[in-house]
Amino acid sequence: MPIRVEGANEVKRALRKFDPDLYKEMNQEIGTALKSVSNEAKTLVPSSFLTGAMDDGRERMSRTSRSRAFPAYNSSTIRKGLTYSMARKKGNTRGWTAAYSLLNKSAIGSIAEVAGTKHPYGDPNSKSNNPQAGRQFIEALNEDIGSIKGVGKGRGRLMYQALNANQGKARDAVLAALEKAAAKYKAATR
Amino acid sequence: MTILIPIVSEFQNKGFKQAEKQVGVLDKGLKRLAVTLGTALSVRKITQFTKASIKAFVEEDKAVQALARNLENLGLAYDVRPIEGYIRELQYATGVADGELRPALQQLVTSTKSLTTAQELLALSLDIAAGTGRSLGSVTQALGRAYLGTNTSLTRLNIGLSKADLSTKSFSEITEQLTKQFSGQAQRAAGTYAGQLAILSAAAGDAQEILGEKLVRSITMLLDEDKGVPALAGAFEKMATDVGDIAVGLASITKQIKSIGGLLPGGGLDILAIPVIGPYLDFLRNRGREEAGKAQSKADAIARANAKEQGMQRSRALRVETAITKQKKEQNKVTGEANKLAKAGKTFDDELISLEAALKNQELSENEVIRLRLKKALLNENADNAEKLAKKLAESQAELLRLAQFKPTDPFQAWIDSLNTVRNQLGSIGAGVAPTAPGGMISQQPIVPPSIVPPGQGGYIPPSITQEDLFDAFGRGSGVTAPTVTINVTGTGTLSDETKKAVVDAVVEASSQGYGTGWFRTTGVYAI
Repeated sequence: MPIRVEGANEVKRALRKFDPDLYKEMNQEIGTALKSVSNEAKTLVPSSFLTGAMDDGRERMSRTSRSRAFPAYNSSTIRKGLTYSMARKKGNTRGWTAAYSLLNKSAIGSIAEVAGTKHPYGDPNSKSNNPQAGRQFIEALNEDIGSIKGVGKGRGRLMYQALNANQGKARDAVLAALEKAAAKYKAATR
Repeated sequence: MTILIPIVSEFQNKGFKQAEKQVGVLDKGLKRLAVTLGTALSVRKITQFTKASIKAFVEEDKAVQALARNLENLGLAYDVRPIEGYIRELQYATGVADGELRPALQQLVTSTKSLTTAQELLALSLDIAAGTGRSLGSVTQALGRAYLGTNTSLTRLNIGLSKADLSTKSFSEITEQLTKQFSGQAQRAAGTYAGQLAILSAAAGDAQEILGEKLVRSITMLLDEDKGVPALAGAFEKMATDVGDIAVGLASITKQIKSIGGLLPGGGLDILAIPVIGPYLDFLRNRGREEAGKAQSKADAIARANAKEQGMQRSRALRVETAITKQKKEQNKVTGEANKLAKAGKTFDDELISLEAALKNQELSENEVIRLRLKKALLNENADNAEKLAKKLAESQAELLRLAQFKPTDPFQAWIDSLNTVRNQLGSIGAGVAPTAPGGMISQQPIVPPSIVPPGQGGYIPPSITQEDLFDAFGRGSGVTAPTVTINVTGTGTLSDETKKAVVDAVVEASSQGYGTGWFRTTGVYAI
């Protein structure tokens, strides 16, 4: 569960404007904490998948009307996409914005992350020529990358698994860095 | 697709606060708008209704006047009120608004020039319109055109009339067929819910027109006092607003009265029974009725005067028309007699007579006959025949021109050659012959007469021609008999010209009649 705080963005804005050094120091501490999680997630990415059947490096042609074909498995692409962000994100419809976030940017990485979270045995309404394709694909992911970890919507194989394994240490470090920077700023401006 | 996992999130209430603020402003605005609309709408609606009522009355009055003018122009200038009554009854019977019936009747009257026929056709049009779902205007237009002989519009109505029907049947037969086909449709349509609603709507429209008439009358009364429309325009708006406010107040009082059980046992509401206001309203109503009665009396008097005047005009127009008809008849009589005389004159036309006589001649060539016939056609002013003959004459002329350009070989050349041979032979025996013309033809120069030498001086005495001589010449079976002509010339000296010509003529005539002739001479120098 993400921690919801008030004033994080104001702290960031004030530090960036009035104390850039402190801002950099804070970002460095937060980045270290987030990077530990993303690096842990990168270690979960196998070098090959399905004994190389999806790891031949070529893009499959779509047989449907989709403009983009199913992405080929590429471990380096997945690892590259596992990263973090310290920029404030766009708010959701309920008014919440992410001040710090972990990201899984690549398409194949996102598939590996969440495939099977909704239908653990494949989509029953799948139009595939092989009705068991979804289930076989999810089973292969579970076998090669790992089973889905997490609770509720926060479930996945890579970043979510790493965050779950981190047991909140990164989150606490981010909050500590924010409080520390805020205290320093208050002390400096007092 | 990027999966975003928020580590630290913050609630941004700025947007929500702004939204709440805007919603509050909107709410206040809506409340103000509702209050404004609530107060303004009723007055505006009443003003609109008042204007619509006046507009409806003005349009109806315009249509009535147009119909009356049309009837008057067609010589059917009856009193319009019975016609208006007929239209009103028809409106309530069929549910078709008088705004549609009046133009339809006007159109049919224009086409038929008869009010009775127009009314019959209007009834038929209503049946057809109800049966086909088409507008009354299109049906009356089609029937009006069909009455005048143009049946094309009837085919467009798709009412089961074939082209054969329209081309072979008369208008009365067509209307009879349509009457059988669509009889009672309008009455049946009026009995339906839609028809009943239409009748109610027509009644509401009439009520609006009546209200408009009263309003216009009140404006007219005010105009007499104020002497000016601009000043009245503002006053009229104020009046409408006041009337609207009064209506709202009345509604409010009525609602309160209803809440305490009403004033009448039957559940109806008599606004005159409203305390305090009721007597005033009763006074106003009575005043309005008096004014309406006066206006009606005045209108009746004007209508009677108009009717009298129209009657006199009709009488005058009838007299004038009778005189014109009589004059036309006399003129037609004179024209007819003139035509008869012209026809009789043609009978004795010298030129025509000579042409007829010329045409009797059997020896005329084809070209000449055509010329004579063409001239005769022109004199008789028969354009069609003249055109045909002119064409035929042109063809004949072309044929003659072609023949003129044709150059045949001379079939008489052989004769000329034979004659020349005879001349040469005669010349070889010393006979006098005429000189030959440059073209080989015998010269017209007279032959030099022979000087017949009497016997004893070298002259030749031809013996008598016997039958045996002719047999020798033509054969026994030729049937030629010997003539009995014997010319003996004796004496001395020269013969006179008459004698020589007589001899030559006799010989030539005998020869031309087929008798064999011969010249024999005993002596002489010249011969014929």
